[in-house]
Amino acid sequence: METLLAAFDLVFRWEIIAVIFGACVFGIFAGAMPGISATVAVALLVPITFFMEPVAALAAIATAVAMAIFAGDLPGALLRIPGMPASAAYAEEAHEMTLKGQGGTVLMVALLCSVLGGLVGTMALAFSAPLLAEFALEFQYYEYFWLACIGLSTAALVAAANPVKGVISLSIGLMLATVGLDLISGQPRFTFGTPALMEGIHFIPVMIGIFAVAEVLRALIHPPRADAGDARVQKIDFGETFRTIWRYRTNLARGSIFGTLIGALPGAGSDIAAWVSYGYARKRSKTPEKFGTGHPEGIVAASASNNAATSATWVPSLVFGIPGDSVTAIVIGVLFLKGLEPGPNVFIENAPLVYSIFVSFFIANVFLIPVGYIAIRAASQLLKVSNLILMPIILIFTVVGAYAINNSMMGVMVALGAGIASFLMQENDYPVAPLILGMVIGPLLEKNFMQAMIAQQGDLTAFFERPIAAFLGIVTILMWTAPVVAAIRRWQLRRRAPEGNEGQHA
Amino acid sequence: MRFNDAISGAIFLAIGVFAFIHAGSFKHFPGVPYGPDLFPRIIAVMMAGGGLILIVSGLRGANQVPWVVLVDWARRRRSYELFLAVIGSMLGYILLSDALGFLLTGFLMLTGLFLVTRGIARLPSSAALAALVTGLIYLIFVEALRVPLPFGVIERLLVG
Repeated sequence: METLLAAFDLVFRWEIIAVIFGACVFGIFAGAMPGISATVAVALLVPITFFMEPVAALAAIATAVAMAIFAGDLPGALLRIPGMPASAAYAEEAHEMTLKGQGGTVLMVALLCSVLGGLVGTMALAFSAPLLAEFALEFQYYEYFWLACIGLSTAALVAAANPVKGVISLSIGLMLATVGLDLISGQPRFTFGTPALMEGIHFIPVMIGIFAVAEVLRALIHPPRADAGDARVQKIDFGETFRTIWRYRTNLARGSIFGTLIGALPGAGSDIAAWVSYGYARKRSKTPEKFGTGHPEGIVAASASNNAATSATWVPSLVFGIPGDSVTAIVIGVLFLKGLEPGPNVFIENAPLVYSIFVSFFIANVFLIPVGYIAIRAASQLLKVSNLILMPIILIFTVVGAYAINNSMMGVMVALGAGIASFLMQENDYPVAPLILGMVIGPLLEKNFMQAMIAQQGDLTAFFERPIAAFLGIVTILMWTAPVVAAIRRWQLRRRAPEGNEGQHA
Repeated sequence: MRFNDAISGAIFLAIGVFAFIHAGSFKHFPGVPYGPDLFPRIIAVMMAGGGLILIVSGLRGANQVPWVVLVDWARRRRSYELFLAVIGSMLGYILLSDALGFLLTGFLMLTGLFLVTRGIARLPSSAALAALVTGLIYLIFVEALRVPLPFGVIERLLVG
């Protein structure tokens, strides 16, 4: 309780509230722009938060993401272009409602459900994270090693369309993390005699390049989509809004709980939460035939779900230092930069700071109501901003942000290189989230691995001696072998199939 | 621009092999059996192995998947102009900003980009917008956050 009060003291200062408000407006704007995902928004925000104190920095990121996830609904409903992957599950449905003239109302429903879902996710975060942290205090480097492996494997193998490409992307990130002086031996690695590489490659310019520069390239060169939508000012019927939410309150509750649970899994985030909740709402609905024709039931569930997941993804990040998605990977990088090693110890050493994150999430969700309302009213103006104006402005922000971290042009060069590489990778179906995860987690993974190896004289069985470590190790190995087994099985089937055909011919 | 997986696979195989060999030159700490080369080598094997799998699967599908596919954007001249404008403006910033300072370089970079994205007819409004945005970034970073940006001609006038 005392910690919570201390956290309130940390957050309720005018400069923090001002930062949260600024992040709120930025998050809404970024979320509403179809070219800017929550990750890009955070990538643009991090260089600014780099110069803030930890509470302000984390509050700004938490707020911007929560706002952006809601704001993705605006172009989804009005133009049928989801502003975020998290809004994609119900963009068509919401657009159908807009065509019926209920666009304002459906957005208001989505806004209030987002707020309620976000509050549920925040409560879950605030209550479960300290409990889990207490449990995790027992962990040694074996457990951390396996946890890091699980976090990275989910991103590379499960979340990627092609697991091989996921693994390669991950290995690029891990390798970039080894550039510079080795933590244990102090030896330079992959520096090729360049003094600038001695201190390593900073993850912020890489992240800016991978997410923001590549996104600018993609948004500009792809032929503009024909905007079939109608972004006229939509009327909001408040009575109907509240009636809709009350009618589908079970969906609201279910969506919030699903979102929280899915968000807390490493590797799964708000977009998966929205798809699952929308699908389940349809399955359990009394009128499933109405789905897809402009029916708010699934929207209630899914819009609560994606905001709940947004808060819940912070659970594995804060407790174990294992990011749930690319946004929390960036958050972990920011925590490290602020001298806070995420993990259970942060709850003891910096409890007020951790609680101030929870408080910020609450404030962000409360701010979401008025700011979101204004955004709905102004949506038609907001959506008129063209990529041809927006993207150059984003680009100059990336240049300044990449430079500001170290005050060196090296950062801008890294961002440019990473941007081109990321663009080519994404064109060829390489996922880029594992790269940034690998870069952020790499040093932690190597440190735990090397310490365990040196302490045990290379005895790998030590990684399985403690019960929790053994369990986590087996889960990891199952995750690694599953795709291999699946590939062998596919290969066997393919070999058998032609023989079978020949048999028929004979 | 999509390439057959065998091409990107070969690139990553080469990087992996190179990293594995190069890691051999990292000096061991005396008395410690596991040196700074161990972890990079594991990653290098991972990368090279992935590259190898992609080469095999890419070659096997090579009769169906061509070496290079020009996706829809790559058949538009305009796309290349925009692509080069983005890269060029960033290179320009890298080369010029230390000499000219942030305000002038930022203004030129944005005006140049707008010139390509919005066309020459809208140059006056583009230049005005570029000046506004550059000034705003200067206020946020230099005035509010106290981050030094490249110092140049206009900054000297402002400060001096």
